[in-house]
Amino acid sequence: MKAHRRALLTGLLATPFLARAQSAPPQPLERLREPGPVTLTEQQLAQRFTASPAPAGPPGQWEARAHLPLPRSEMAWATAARGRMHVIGGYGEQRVNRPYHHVYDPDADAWEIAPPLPLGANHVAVAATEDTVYAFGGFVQQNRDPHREAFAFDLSSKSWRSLAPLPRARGAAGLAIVDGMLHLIGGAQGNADRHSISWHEVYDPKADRWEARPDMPGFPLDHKGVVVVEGRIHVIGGRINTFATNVGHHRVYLPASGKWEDRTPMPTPRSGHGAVLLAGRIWCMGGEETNKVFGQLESYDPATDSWTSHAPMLTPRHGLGAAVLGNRIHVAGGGVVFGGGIQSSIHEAFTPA
Amino acid sequence: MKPSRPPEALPRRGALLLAGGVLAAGASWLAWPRAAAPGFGPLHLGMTRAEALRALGPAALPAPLCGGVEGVLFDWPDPALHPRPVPAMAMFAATEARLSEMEASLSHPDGGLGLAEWQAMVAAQREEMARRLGTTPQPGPAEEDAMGAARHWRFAAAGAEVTLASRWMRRSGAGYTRLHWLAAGQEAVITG
Repeated sequence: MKAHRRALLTGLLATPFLARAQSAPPQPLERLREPGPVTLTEQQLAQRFTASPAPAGPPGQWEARAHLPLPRSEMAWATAARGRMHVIGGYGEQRVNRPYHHVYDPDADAWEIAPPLPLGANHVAVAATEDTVYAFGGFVQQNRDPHREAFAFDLSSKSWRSLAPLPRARGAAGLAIVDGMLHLIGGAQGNADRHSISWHEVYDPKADRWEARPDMPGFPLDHKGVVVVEGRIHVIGGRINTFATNVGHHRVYLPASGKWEDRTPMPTPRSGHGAVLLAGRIWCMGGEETNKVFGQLESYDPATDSWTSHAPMLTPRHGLGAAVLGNRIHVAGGGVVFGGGIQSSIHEAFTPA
Repeated sequence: MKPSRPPEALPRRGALLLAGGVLAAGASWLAWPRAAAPGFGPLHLGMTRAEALRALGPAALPAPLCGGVEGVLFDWPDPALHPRPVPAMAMFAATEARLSEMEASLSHPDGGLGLAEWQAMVAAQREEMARRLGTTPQPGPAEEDAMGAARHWRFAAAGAEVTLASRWMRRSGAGYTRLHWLAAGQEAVITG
C-alpha cells in the first residue's frame, strides 16, 4: 500500500514534467568517429608545458603528417615493423577498450585499418620483430582491471593468434625484445586497488612459454618508456601508481648478467610519454602529470650518459604512439589534456638536425 | 460563553479539493510507466544530465566529446551481477542532455574460469537481468561483434533495448561480458 501511495503521489507531482519529457523529440547523435573539432578551454590550454631543464641541443624539426583514422589515446605504445608503424588498442569513440590496429605507411603518408586486436584494451604493451607484432596485456577498464591475454600478429598472413597467457594480469607494462626473448617489465595490476608493480617476466616465442626474472629494483613503475640499446634495456621515467607521483628515473637492465644499473635521470619527470631509439640516441617526448601535458623532446646519449633538449612537439600529448620509421620519429594520437578525457588523431613526425 | 460552531462533516471546499485530487491521481496513474525505465545503479535512461550527475555524486566527471556527445564513467556496486563494483558509462545527447545510452562491464579479465563456470556465470547474469526487466531475452545474432563476443541476448525493455554480450578466452579462462542499454529512437554511439 505504501508503495502504491508513494507512486500515486509521485505521479501526481510528476505529471506535468512527464508530459513535457515525452513531447521532446529525440535528437540524433553524431558519430564519435568524426574527428572534431575539439575546442580546448583556456584552462585546458594552460596545461601545456614544453620547457625542458636539459641543455639545448640541435632543435630538429617537427611536421604534421596524415591524421590517424580517428581520435585515440592511451595506446601506450606503438611499434614499427617492416618500415611501418603499428598503433594498437587504447581509448576512442568514448570507449576505453578499443581493439584498433592502425598501420601507417610513410611512403604513402596514409593509414591502413588492419585486423583488430582480438581483445580491446588500453595500455597494451607492444613490440615487434621483422615477422611479428606482439601485444601483451592491457587494461579493459579505464587505466585499470588488466587482462592476461597475449597476442601475436603475423605480418605475412595478417592475422592474430593467441599466445601463452601472461603469468599475471597487468597493463601499462614495458615490452622489449633482446635476442629473440620478450621482456615484460613493470606496469600496474588491480582494479579498485590498482597499483604499480616491479614484475619482470620473459616470454620465449619459440617455446610459447613464460619465465620469471627477479623484480625490477627500486620503485614499482607503470606508464614508463622502454628502449633497447645494444642489447641493454633502458627503463625511463614513469609513475608510481598515479601521475601525481611521476619519476625521471633511468635504469638499465643487462640481460647477460641479470643486473640493473642506474643512469642519468630524464630531465623532465613524466609518465605516458613516448621513448624510441634513433641514430644511437634515446628520444623521449610527451607525457603527463597532474594538470600538465608535456611537449618536451629530450634525447639521451648512452656514450656520454647525458641528456639534451630539442624542439618540442607541435601539440603536447600523452598516451601516444611513437615509433621510428627511416630517419624520422612518428608520434600519433594521444590525449591533449591530462587524463583520458579528450583523444586526438594528430600525427606529427620529427626529423633530427 | 459563546458556543462553538459544530464541525461540518465534509466542508464544501474540502470536498472539491478531494474530488480534484482523485481526478489528478487517476490521470497520473494512467500516465505512470508500467515498468521503471531501464538503467544501472542510480541512473536510468531518460534522466537529465543534472539529475544523473547529482545521483552519482561529485566524483563523477563528465567528459566533453567530439560529435556533440558527453559521457561519464562511474563505478557502482551491484553484487547480484558482479562481485566487484561494476564499471559503467553513461552517455548524454548534447542537445537535450538526457541519458540516452549506457554500458556496464561484467568482465572477469583475471582468467581462470572453466567453460562451464563462465557459462553458468553468464546464465546467472542473464536471469538477473530478465528478472529486473520483466522480460525474456531473445538470442541475438551468432556472428562476432567488435568485442569478439559470439553470445548475445536482447531484452525488449520498456522504451529501450538492452543487450547482454559475452565471450570466453580459452587459454586464459577470462570472461568478457557487457551490458548495453539504448533508449528507443536513439542512435547507438557505442558499437561493438
